[in-house]
Amino acid sequence: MSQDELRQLLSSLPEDAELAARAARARRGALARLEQPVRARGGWLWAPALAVFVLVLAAGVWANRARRVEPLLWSPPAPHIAVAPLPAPQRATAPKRIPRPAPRAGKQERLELHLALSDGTRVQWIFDKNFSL
Amino acid sequence: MTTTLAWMAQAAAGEAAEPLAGLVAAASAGDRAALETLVETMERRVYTLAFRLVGDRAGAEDVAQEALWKVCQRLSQFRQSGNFWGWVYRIVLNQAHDHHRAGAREKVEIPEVTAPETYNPAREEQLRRAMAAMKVLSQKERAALVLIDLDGYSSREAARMMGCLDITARARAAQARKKVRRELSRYYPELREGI
Repeated sequence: MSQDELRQLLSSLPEDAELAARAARARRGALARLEQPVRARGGWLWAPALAVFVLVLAAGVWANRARRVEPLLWSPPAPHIAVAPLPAPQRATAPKRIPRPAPRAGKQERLELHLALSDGTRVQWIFDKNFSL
Repeated sequence: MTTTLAWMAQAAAGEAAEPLAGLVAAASAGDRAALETLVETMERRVYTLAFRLVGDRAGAEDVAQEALWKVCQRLSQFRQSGNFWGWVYRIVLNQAHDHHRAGAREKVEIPEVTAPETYNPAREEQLRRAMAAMKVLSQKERAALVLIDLDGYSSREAARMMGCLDITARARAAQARKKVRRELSRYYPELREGI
């Protein structure tokens, strides 16, 4: 099949009479649609928009009313900062330091030192409280 | 009305270099008769293009109607110096694209019945095969194939209508040709050679 035959095959159309009838119907439909008033054509667009707007408006009014608080019968006076009757500040005196008693050292009477040398000799030194051997 | 009659006389005499120009101008100016004549002049070509782009009779009718309505509505926007058919084709292409996008998913294919006296089984079968083969194409490939191969537009003109580059239009048409050949080779084995 050549390119031309393929083109011819793809160019197939319905019967001439049918094609003409359908084309004419499309034309009549287009012209009839053109005659429709603009408002009727666009009705489906603005009608829902208007309905939504009205609903939103009503919801807004209702919410505003529900949220509003009833006014008070008696209005309290405005709050103010009270002045407290306090004495003038004075310089604080530093507390006296109480000397802590010095810890008493334990009485050391003597010091004994026991040594065992490697040759088995045992040494015992005893110091007295004056560190005298 | 007088403008329409003048145009019709001129067209009948074959004097008009651009036959639609006068009619378009008159219709844009608000001449109702000129508008109706213009739409009548366009209807067949618009329907044929719509049929090739959509692939079914009823869908093509919807697309053609919508496209013709849009042409009438936007006629005042058309620049008189421009290519009228190019402008109309762009509208049909966009409409076919919208139709494909909107209705392709939920559409149920119903076999169409033609009038018994005009029914030609061989022709119907050929048409069915051609449309089935075209169905494998994407919308863009289909538009490129229809405009370049079937309607005989140059790739540059087709590209302008489709809003793409010249080379893109050619590539789409080549791709479409290949796919269609592959699809039709089930019925016409000799087409396998070209794949």
